[in-house]
Amino acid sequence: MIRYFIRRLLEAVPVFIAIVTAVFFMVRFVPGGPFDRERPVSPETLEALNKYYGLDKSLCEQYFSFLKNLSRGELGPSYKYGGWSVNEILAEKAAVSLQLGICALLIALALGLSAGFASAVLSKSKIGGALSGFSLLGICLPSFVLGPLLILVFALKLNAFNAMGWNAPSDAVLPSLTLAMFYAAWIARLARNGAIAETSRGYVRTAYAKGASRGRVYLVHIARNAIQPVVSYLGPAAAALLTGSFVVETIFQIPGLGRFFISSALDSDYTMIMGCVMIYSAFIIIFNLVSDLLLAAVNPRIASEMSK
Amino acid sequence: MAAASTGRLLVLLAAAACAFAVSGCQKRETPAEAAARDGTLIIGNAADPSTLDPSLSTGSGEYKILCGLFEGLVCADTETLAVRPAAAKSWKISNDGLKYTFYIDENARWSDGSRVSAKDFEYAWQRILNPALGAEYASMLFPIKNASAYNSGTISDPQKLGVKALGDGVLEVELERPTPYFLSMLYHNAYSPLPRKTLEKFGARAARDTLWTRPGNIVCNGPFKLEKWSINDKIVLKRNPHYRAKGELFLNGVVFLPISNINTEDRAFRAGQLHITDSVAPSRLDSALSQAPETVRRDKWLGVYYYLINTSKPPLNDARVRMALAKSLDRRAIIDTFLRAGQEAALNFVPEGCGGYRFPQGRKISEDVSEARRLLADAGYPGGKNFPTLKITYNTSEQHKPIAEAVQQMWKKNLGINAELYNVSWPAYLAARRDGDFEVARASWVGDYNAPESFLELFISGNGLNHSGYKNAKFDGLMDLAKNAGDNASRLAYLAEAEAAMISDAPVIPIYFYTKVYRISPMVRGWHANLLDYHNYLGVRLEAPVRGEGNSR
Repeated sequence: MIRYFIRRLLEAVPVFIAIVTAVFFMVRFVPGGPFDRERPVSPETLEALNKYYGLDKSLCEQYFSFLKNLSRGELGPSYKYGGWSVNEILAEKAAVSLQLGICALLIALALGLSAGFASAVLSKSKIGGALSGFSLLGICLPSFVLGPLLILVFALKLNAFNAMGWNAPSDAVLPSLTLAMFYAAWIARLARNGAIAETSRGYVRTAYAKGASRGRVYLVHIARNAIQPVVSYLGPAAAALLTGSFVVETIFQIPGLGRFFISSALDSDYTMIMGCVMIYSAFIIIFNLVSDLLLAAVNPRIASEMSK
Repeated sequence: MAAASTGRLLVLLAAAACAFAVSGCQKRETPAEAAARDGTLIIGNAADPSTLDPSLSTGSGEYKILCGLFEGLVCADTETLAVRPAAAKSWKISNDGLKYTFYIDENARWSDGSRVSAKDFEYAWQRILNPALGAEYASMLFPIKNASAYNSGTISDPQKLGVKALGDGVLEVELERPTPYFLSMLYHNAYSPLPRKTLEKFGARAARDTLWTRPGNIVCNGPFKLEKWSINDKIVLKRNPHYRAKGELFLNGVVFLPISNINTEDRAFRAGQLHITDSVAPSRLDSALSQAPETVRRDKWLGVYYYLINTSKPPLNDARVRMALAKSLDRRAIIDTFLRAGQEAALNFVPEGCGGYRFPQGRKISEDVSEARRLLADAGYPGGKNFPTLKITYNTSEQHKPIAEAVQQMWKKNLGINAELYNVSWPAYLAARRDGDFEVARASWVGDYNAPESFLELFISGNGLNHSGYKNAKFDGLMDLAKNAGDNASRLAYLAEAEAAMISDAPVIPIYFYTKVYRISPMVRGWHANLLDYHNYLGVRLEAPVRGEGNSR
């Protein structure tokens, strides 16, 4: 198991370097540079700026100095925010996105699993059908509709929450709900389908034959197997949730990481783009690995595969 | 059994949600009301400031914040834009208009309590002009003697600049040539003084990436000092206890929220989280006007929205073609359909009233479709026949697209010309303009100071801002005459002549003059409209509402 873990981590290193390299060169081939402004700067000023940030060197030299800095964990200064380093900004913003993402992930899991299993248990009743319909709605309803809708009801009409901002713990409620809804709906569908597929299996019949109650059969026997598609889905879902969402952070004016994915590209803030891409790739790699390990925990067959 | 317990669970959950919702229904004090009681103004800032270094700031995202943190030699009356004493209590101008002597107010203090000295101005102006710093707005200081030469590296000794501190109390400024609007440039943040000791401590003399502008480090001479700066989140200013004009300052602080989304900002205002918004979405304007008209303001603003023409690309190198394109638009229809805030149609380039300037009515572009058709036929394209498809380049924006579509349709209908729309990202758009890789591009310009030169300099041959590639010796000559004009009246007359020469060549198609449309809470008093959207926060008061009132929604 540990060998598997280390092997996967080692495999991730070249993938990570390939992503970083590709993005490093791609952003530099996009038209426009970090110092293009509506009021253009004089050639002398542009030269001074390029020299200051080392952009006057050849692309290869820039790449190797980037790698050198990266090996020390340094991402360099932001080209947009004078006097701020990318490390500093990302650390501050990632903390916000992490808090929001964890709330959303917990809501998505709680809502998704309970709705999924409930609709499987009640699959033949109206409640089961309604739950299934709601999960479809959750998948179809985009966050840029759900977010403003929640604000309209809970902030503007009921006056229960702020319409935007990130100051009090209650400010996390509406954005985490908005962020969680899509994932909750997916989880519900995956859990429901997984559970329904398992109910006709032989071991379920055996359990019933041995006199186990319906609750025990579902919670102890079926859940363990039905949850596997959810666990595989959790890897990319957690990475996406924890690195922030551009849409939700914009609607609720949350100072998280998600907005930088878009704004850094629009500002041609090369160092910030690299930082964002690296964080996202690292999260994807790590959470895929974590979800594989969780799968092994619930499925001994996978664990024995890994140990080979 | 399981079904029944799940059902009970659902009922419980629903009951909990209802209880929670009902508990929230009680009317609570909004953040804007609470802030008003504290004397703190909350402003929607739209753009996130890139820097708080007044020498390095380039955008309107920083302008309002820096106006609170730093104060130049003079400030402006926020109602009339008339120049008023600030860090300088008085000044003297030599008869030839070349030498300005400023007497620094002994009461002007930095937020650390030390005196604002003439040397702080000398240091700041030398720094912004230092070519190694690469300050984008260094050209704002070019009226000063040798400023342009020093900034371009032709001379290397900053002592040769026309700025000298004679002790702490007197600043002598020599100009290249008489510049009647020089005083009105001095309240732009490019002319702010800098706290030398702080900058030297953080090695910021010729460096951009330093920590001197962080809270705790930065020392300011404006009405406020910096309390908090969180990127993409908020900037908090608190009253500067050493500010010179305490009697005019009624606010205890200002909070700037960089809300990039216009709908988020609108909801924040309606929920009572903002006192002043940056703008109002045209789609929300009608409902805002019907529900709470007293919160909507529409103020004239020194800016113009226009289409830039690449005059070097055929057939756009023919002035008749360009004029035909300009004459064939129905600007009122564009304004009334997409902008809806009573903007003024632009039939020339410099906004009316800019620094006392008036462009003669008879020389403006006339919207005349039949004349446009005649011009196009004269140029060899009767009814648009054989005219190549034009490319209209614009950057991604909800507002630029419908305007581009309307222009496309008007050219098709009125002139028989086909145009295709080319939507690009902001950096790609700027690169296209810089490299001349466009035919017609949407553009806008907001004046940096209240003088027509701020607009007309864009068309001087060889100017880095002249993206249309326009060259007209007559225009250049008139601009030169205006620069050297002995009195203000003849200067303005030369400028009008110059603009008339430029307008008749149509290197740009002006579309509308800006109107600043925003919402303001009735709690805010003394927030005046002016052409530059300049606010130094003096005289602004907050009146917290009696219970039951608030931001009207």
